[in-house]
Amino acid sequence: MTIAIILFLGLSGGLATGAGYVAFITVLGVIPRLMSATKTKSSIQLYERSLVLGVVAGTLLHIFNVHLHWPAFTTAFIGLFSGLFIGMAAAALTEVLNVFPILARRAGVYAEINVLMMAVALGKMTGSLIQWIVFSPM
Amino acid sequence: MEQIVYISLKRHVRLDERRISFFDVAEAEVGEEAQPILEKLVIKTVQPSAGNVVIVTVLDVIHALKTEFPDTQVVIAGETESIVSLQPANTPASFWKIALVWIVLFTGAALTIMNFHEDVSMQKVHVLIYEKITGVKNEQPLLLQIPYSIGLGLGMILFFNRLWQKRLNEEPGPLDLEMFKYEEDINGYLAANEKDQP
Repeated sequence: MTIAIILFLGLSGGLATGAGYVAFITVLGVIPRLMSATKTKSSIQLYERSLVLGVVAGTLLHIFNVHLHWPAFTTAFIGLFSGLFIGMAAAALTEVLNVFPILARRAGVYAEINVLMMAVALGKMTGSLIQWIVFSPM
Repeated sequence: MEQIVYISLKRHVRLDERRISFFDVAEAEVGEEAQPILEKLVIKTVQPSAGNVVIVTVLDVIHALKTEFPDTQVVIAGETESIVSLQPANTPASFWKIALVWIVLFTGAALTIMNFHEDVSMQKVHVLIYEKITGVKNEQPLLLQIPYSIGLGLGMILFFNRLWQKRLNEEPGPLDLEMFKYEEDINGYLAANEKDQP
């Protein structure tokens, strides 16, 4: 009986989290932008599956005590690609919050909006590098 | 002589002078002989007290047109009002202003990404991933974290379409769209509110 309840709890919790994840990714609009930039709208199903597989793989890796024993350089690729993903999500969030249009109008800078965008991108890069290299051993 | 003039107003214009002439706000399909007269036609002279944003309606334009050509029949094709911002067009923003905004964005972005990483325990997750993949426990997996940071910045730039912009010129970036929507909102507000005033 308790096993049934726990199974049910786990399943419903997973459903809620998965649905929330998909909803959030959809609101951010990262995937449509990737598709329109690469002109691969026809592969939308592949991308959906890749997202689902990624979530499931991450979950499995997290909950099971497995060690893959891959060479260390493979983590560099994982870092790069996960960074790209989070960077795009962060950019999308900045855009949802309307930061740039308001700032550009208030400060009266229109042509230099690219420069301001670079400020945010480089700031994120620098901030996270400082955090990993300087702060984290403390 | 009776003739038909088709006019359409421009949605939004920036002007440097306070004298709005016909072709500043309107486009028109007229005969050759009327062209030079219309070029000199002043629709409205804006008093300094009227502020920096003026709405010119199609009625103002027709009124001015009728003073020159009383017999013409005007057909409106397109916008019925034009929002005129009286500010010097395309003055480059000063270096210090941009520098200040740049610094604010840069430090703000750096701080908020650190907050985000702390919030989601990114350090712990990176240590965990490194251990799971390589089987070695490393409290500071820089091999994972430095590419991650580079990817983070690159991802933002790619999202805003700045690297592909040359190649994909037919499509505006999300930032361009966002700027356009915001300006449209402001113009709509101005058009709705300015009209109440005489």
